[in-house]
Amino acid sequence: MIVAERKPLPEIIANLKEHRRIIIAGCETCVAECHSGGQKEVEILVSQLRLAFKDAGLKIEVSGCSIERQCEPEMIEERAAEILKNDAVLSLACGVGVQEMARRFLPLPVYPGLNTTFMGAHTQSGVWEERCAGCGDCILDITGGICPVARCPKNLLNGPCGGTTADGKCELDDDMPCVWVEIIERLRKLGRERELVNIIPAKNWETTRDGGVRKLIREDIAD
Amino acid sequence: MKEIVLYRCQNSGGRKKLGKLPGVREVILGCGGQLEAVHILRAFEDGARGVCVVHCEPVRCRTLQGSRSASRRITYARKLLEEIGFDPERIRSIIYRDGCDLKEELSEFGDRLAEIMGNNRVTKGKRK
Repeated sequence: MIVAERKPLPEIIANLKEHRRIIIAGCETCVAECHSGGQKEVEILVSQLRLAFKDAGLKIEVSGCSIERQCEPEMIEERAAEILKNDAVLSLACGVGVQEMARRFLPLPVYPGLNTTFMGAHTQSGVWEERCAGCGDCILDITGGICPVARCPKNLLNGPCGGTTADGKCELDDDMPCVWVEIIERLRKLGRERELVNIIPAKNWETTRDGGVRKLIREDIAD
Repeated sequence: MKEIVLYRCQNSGGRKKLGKLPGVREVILGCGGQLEAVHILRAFEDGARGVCVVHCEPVRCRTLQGSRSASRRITYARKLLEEIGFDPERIRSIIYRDGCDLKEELSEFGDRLAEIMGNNRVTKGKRK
């Protein structure tokens, strides 16, 4: 899922304080799963902003709504009539959702309420960890389903650096396991440890985002 | 709106309301774990000066995790209040134990709110 966290409240208030009627739009998919932008978080922020504005003597109406996926224009459209009654929108979606909302509701200003952080997994109650860097050239088949591109700070593809600690942690963070220790253990469990002698060729970084906006075109679907 | 909103777990002092408590609106919960941070914020939105949550000792919680959940959400709600410049002491958490005098506790909380906020209902009760 895409993981995000709420922006600091002063930053949100600075964007909204010149408006008179604002709506906070939640997104019920990834950011709801990581408790940043779902219905519950919308309700909390609506309440917080109402209290803050009232206390500051600002007459600003605040309401909330929730969209199943803000990255899907059809789903945005289901809430369009309600959103258009306002003079600004605070989107609690990832950066993709904010951009789709901004495009749909132009010239209505759409502000981001979250900082989108990474693609990750829910590893324990209240904890999410990065798992995929979206590099565009997946090698999980070679590394036993554990990604060194996203999880090694040095993006090493052929074993650990010299800094792994005696208890298998990364030299940069005592709490972070060395991903190459995990890969070696995984391949052992899979009975594939002999594959570790194979050299993974230098990665093709052309598929990462350094080349600008990436596109996926399915010719069987696209016009 | 009453001065204090009291959210109380039904297993902390019984299912019946505590009786007439001046300035207190009592809401009985099936379990402290049902409480959400937004319930606390909405009480302030409606004009409460303080919110008091009464829940069980974690080891005696009948739903096992309910009391711990309540504690976590109270901590979270205090953080949310601090973000908007309200005094987090306006939320009081009481762990209910045998012999606990809730009326006395509420009276003391009312006095503390008066100290924090004075007689001005609008003031935020900034941290001293």
